Amino acid sequence: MSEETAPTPPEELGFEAALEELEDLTRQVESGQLPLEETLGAFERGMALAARCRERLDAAEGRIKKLMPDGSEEDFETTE
Amino acid sequence: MGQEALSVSEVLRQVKTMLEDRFEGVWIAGELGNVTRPRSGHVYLTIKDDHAAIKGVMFRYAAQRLSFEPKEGEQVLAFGTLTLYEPRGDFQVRLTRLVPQGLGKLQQRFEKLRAQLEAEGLFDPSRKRPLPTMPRRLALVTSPTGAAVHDMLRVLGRRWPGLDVTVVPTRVQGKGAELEIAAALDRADDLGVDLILCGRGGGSLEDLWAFNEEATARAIFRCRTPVVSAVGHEVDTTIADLVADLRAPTPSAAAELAVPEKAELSRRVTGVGERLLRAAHTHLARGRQRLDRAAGSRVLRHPFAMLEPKAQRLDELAARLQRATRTRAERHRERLQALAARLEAVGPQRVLARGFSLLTRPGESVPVRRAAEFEPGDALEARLGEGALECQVVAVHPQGLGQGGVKRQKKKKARRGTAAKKSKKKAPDPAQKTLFENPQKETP
Repeated sequence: MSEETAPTPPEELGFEAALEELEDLTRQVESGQLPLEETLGAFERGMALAARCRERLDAAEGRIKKLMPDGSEEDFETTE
Repeated sequence: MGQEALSVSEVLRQVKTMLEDRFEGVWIAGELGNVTRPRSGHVYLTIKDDHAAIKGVMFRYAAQRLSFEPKEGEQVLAFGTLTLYEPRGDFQVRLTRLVPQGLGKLQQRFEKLRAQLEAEGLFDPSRKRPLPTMPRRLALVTSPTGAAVHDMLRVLGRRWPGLDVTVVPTRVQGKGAELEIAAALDRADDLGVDLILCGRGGGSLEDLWAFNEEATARAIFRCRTPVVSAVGHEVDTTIADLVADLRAPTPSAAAELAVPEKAELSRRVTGVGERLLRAAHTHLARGRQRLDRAAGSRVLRHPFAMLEPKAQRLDELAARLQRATRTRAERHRERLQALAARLEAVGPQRVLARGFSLLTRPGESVPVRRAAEFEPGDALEARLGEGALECQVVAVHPQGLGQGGVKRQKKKKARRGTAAKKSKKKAPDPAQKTLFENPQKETP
């Protein structure tokens, strides 16, 4: 039984996978081979993937910390 | 006496020549005694062992190449030529090279450990883990002071702002430093970060020695997290470098290898996104044109310009495109619907259903509108909401019922020259359009 599996939701994809699929969809749309319906579908999916990539790149701000002997963390002083 | 007496100078000269011939380029091992280094740049020292001592001199041309500062008590290996300082008859060695004996010992230890760990498989290439492509959290095992940690943080901050970094501080040289490094690596591994950078800035072989120790090597080996070694300068290779999953030539290089450049990835995403936008736009525009032609309306002119190369507006543009696509199609539909409704509203059938009748001359479909066109006796066809009538005009009221000038049916009298009564037909008004040839039934 060969069914077409539903595409993975973008939130579940890693950056690389999302970008790869985005590039793939773009090539398909650029080729002009897709019928109108599918072009729209590819476009929507592509935009969702691009948003996902953006998300992964703009992830929350991290800190620079120093691990203390007791296991706690302190801000690391970057004095040169 | 059989020999001629020699002068002092002559004796010494001969002895000197003999010495230099016999002892040209010898290695001497011993301990340094007194060392003086006057402004001339020459070095005067003594090398001794338990039983004897010899004077040595290293002239400036050789002394300035010394890679260490000779000190009293140091075990050395000295290379030079035995000679005589004639003016005083002093026996001495003229040195060209001076090397601490310890260095040789360190090299031996390095080779021995290297061979041992290699045999155990700690350097095995197949065991080395690939680095994560986009690490979110990093640990730096290094000295909290010094250039190395700051170099790494600077490079990391440049390539991927917002990275999560934990510095696990440790001594990186001195007695017992390898045990601290090992403990720090274990703690870093327990943090569950994506990658560990472990190293220090440049230094002498002794300075870097902690990274050639077994404790450090085994600690790197047992890390579950991938480890990048970042020890010293380009030319220094330590055992830590050999065990690590990746060796970086310097701490800065380690930071470069660790994370990709966020800006570059961002550009890539934007680039592809814009291509998709453009391509979808082009093909959707063509699709709309086909739709327009099918609906019989004029072909849309310009697709709206929407290419703005700013990554932040990607989502906004996408929404606009979607809205625009839907809106135009919707507008078409609406227009068609409105037209159809208007047509229907003015269609005769509706009017007839309301009780009006459509009067035409017999056999025609053009409705008549002026009573004055008719004479009494003229035939008319009347279409009603249901059914039709064949009628004959009885009287004509040009101005309307109850107004003057009524024409009544005249008594029939023969007219000279006329055969049959002709019904005066006026040519139909060409401006008047035929709405329907056949009355249409309303669609339910």
